[in-house]
Amino acid sequence: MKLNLIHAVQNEVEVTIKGDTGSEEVQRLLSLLREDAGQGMVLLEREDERFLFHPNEILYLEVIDGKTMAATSQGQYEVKEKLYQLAASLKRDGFIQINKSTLVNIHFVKSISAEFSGNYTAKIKGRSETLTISRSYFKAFKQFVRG
Amino acid sequence: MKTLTRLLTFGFVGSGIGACVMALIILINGSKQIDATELFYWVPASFLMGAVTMILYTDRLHFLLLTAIHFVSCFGIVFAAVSLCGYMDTPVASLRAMMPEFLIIYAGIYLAVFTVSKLNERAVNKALEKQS
Repeated sequence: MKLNLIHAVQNEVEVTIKGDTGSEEVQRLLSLLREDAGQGMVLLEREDERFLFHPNEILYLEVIDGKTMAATSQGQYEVKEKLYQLAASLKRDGFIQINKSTLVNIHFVKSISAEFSGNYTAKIKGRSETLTISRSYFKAFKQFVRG
Repeated sequence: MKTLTRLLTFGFVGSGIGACVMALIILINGSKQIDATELFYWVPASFLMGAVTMILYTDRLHFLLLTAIHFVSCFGIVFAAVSLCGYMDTPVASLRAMMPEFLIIYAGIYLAVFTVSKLNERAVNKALEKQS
């Protein structure tokens, strides 16, 4: 691994990772950055471009056709990590699993409503779509929300 | 293996509840009301009803449909037990005696579950409001 340190006068420290961003080495680097900086970043992809997002920019994550997708205010992106990995790493950022294939950022949940089906529907702040909280995940969701 | 363990757990809980109901009946009506033959039918019936209850914990179907499946299953089990114990002269008489009670019990269950979910909704929304 080649390391370049460039001194620059700017407010924010800029980190550029050049190479195969999907490789294990890069993923390890990202997790190290997350831990050291104390703020987790998630690597998202769209049309062969990769972006680093702070978890508080992600509304929810869901598995669609076997791919993990992240919904942000700027649209949908793909995430290489599996949902269960994200569930573990993003828990402290306010993400909780609400059904078999969805993790929601609790900070973006506007309200919930009980359905006749026994499930609950979560409304997302500033968005028209709703997410289903299934019965088996509701207990954990309730505990998570109530702290 | 996990499903079997779960099924057995539900079954034994059902048997436990059934045993409590029978003990209550003996306490209220005296021991002459239940004999060994009846226990022979009601214990497995309670086990089966307990096992059937496991379906209420699945997410795959609408809760109303699950309640209906549970209703039909338990009705069938109780109907079989009642017939084997010979409580009623004819099957029609058994059906007539059981149906209203079952309908009231299940309507109560569904209403209670829905009320609890509405209370949960309120509690969670309150917590969400506090957070924002």
